[in-house]
Amino acid sequence: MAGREKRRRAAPLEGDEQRLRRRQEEAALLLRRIKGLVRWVIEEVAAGRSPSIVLHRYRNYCSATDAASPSPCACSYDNPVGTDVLSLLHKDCHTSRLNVLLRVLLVVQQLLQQNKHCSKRDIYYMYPSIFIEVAVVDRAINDICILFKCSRHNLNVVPVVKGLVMGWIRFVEGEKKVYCITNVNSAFSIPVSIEAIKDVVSVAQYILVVEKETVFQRLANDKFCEKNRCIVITGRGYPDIPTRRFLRYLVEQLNLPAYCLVDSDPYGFDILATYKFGSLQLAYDANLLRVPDIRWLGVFTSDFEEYCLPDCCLLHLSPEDRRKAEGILARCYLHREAPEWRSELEAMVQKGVKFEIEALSASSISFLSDEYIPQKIKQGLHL
Amino acid sequence: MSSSAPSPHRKLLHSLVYWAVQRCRMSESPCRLTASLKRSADPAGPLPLRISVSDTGVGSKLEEFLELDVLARETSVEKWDGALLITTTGINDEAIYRYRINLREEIASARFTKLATTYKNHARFSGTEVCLCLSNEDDVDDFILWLVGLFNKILVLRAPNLACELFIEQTGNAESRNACLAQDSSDVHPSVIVSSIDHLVSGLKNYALSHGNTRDKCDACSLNRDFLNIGTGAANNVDRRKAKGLHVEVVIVIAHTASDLNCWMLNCSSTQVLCFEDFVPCPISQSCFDVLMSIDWQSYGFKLKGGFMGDEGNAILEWDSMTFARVDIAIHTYHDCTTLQEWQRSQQNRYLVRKALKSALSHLKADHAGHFLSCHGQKVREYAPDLAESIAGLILSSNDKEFQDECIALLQLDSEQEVSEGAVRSSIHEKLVRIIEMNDTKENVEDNTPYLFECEKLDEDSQLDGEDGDMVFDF
Repeated sequence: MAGREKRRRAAPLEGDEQRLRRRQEEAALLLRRIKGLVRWVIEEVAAGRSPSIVLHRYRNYCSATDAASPSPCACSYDNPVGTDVLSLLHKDCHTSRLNVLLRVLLVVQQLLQQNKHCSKRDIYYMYPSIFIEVAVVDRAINDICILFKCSRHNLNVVPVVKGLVMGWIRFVEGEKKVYCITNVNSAFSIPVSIEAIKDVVSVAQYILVVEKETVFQRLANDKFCEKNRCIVITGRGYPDIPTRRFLRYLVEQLNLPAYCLVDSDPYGFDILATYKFGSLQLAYDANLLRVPDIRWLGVFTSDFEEYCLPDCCLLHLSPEDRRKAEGILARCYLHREAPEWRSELEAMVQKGVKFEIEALSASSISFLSDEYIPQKIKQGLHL
Repeated sequence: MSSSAPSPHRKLLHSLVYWAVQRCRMSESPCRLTASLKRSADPAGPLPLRISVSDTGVGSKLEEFLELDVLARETSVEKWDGALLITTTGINDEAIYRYRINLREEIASARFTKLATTYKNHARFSGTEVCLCLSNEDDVDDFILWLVGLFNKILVLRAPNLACELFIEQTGNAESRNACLAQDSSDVHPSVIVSSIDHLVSGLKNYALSHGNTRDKCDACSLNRDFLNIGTGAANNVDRRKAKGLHVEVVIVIAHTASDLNCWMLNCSSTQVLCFEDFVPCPISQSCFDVLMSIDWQSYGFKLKGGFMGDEGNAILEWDSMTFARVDIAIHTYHDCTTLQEWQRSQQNRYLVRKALKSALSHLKADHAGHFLSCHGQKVREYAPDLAESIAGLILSSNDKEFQDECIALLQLDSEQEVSEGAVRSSIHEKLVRIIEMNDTKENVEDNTPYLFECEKLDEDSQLDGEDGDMVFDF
């Protein structure tokens, strides 16, 4: 029966030639924009004026001041909430930001002209005395994306991938065949860039996102995918851009539901929120990276009693956990878009306890794969 | 010099000199002020310290001496008997009058004793001499040093039309020593057109070049006179009813470190602010000190670490990581001669001092923008080389020759010839530095409404406009 399942094929994709042409056009457009910026900077400098660059500031969430009656805030995935002006005139931290921005832009121009790619760490090591630390390069890349209204991959700056995938899917990444489907219990690296993906075929019924690699390996060990038609993904903690883009791509292309399994603690919740709402750092791109319909499968505070887990697995929330949780509870998007999630987090804080997904394996090693996940999905016990 | 609070001797001499200077100022002709001091070499000797302060200014009306009675009461009889011998005559007087004033006398009518009068026989001159005797005590050496310092400072100010001299004579025993401190003849400006602030500039320059009067003349530094940076500022209260006719002038002299001059090799990390009231050196007032401490020095590239008021009423400012060899500051508060008699010596006007000081600092900055960039400006300027390198790199690494030529033309470099990366970079660097210097004051930044760069501007001529959305959303 399983073999007769309707195959899900990704929406028709462009041919290789078309794809190449598009990429060239995008690179040419960006190069033109860079030249436009440089020309303008020169014009200003020649006229004796400070070049002042406006950067929109994006924010996908804020801390609502009053939890009971959250007033409408300006947070938006599409519209900026304010602007920063980078110039020689005002704050010297903004001049420093302008300095780094132009230097990274110099590297990006060369990458685009030569059709080469490199990582932000590579860029950092080109001018370490100017950049001081990788985070500064990271910010400059964000600034350039905001300035030119593009995403990181458009700049030929590629991330280092840490996410893993397994299950009922196969695709081609550039020249490489990634046929997870031939061994559904093996882990494969998530592709660096979804632009290189083609020929996606899947017979999965859902996508399961797990917070941690240990849980991913538990599922692989239990041959979870052999028994369940699904694709399992892990971002190994806070997900990186390729993992989030890949998940979003699969959800859209294959039209599959996605479930997320995280620890019952504030950090697990934050990771879950990153998948659904995006991160503040990449707020300008959050709408392209997030999976708004992702469902929270567990583990919930109530699961502890529900499944009679042993007390030794239960830990008290530390003061830091509480601070973190309170910070998350104040986020406007929870009030607005996920009040049920918020109530669940509130319950965690009220009870003052936390536990990890692995607690479910305390009584039986395969309980998670054999019962917990299939049951929850079947009975629709998710938020 | 003694670090104790000003002794009555000093206060007394200061007052006598002060009023002598004021009488000279009121005179319309060039005047001379002479102080002479005679002392016995033997401190235990019977001869007292004989002091005379004389001037060729307008005649005295004696009122100014009455305020000295407070001092007389503060001083023990052994030190000063409270007596002053005054000889004075006005320009229109026919005689020279002599008085003896005993400030210790309780009965007012008995304080003044008129002595013999000498007739001038139609000669026209005016002047006053005050003589007194003070006890010859152990601290007389300190007192003399202080008096020399006072006259040196008067010379810094160089009041127009006033020549000053100080004679010190030591008698007794086998030897007799004389010392004389007089104004260089070249220092007396014959022209009355030269303003008091110009005199102060010239005097403060000399003061700086002689390392704050610590040596007669430093030959090496004197060669550098024209390289000093000068800032001047003035403010006055001509119209306001309160403190009418009050003027404040501030002069700042900056010496830069010159590697070839040994004496300026070490940067001076503190500044003794010279304060003058009505052309006489004076202790700094609290309000004036508060102004010094509250000025936004950072806007002018100075990092003020702290400051304090010394026992003698000197204000000392201490600098952090000083980039200059020497900073000298003089603040002069004075009243118009016409209003001189109407006012009481009062607190220096805080508002005027602030205004004049800021004006002097702005003057320095306007003339030498590069040296007096605000601390913020200095930080921003540090980015200029990297910024220039990035922008030059963006131009020259572009594979679009037309774009390169366009940028080089905008920079007004000769595009006919091969333009080196260094030339492009230094052209941009130079322009960036000029922009930073031009915009270093808050006022300038506010005036210079920035032309903002937003990406939308580029889209107007973008051929791929229609695909903008694709670029962002289609991945």
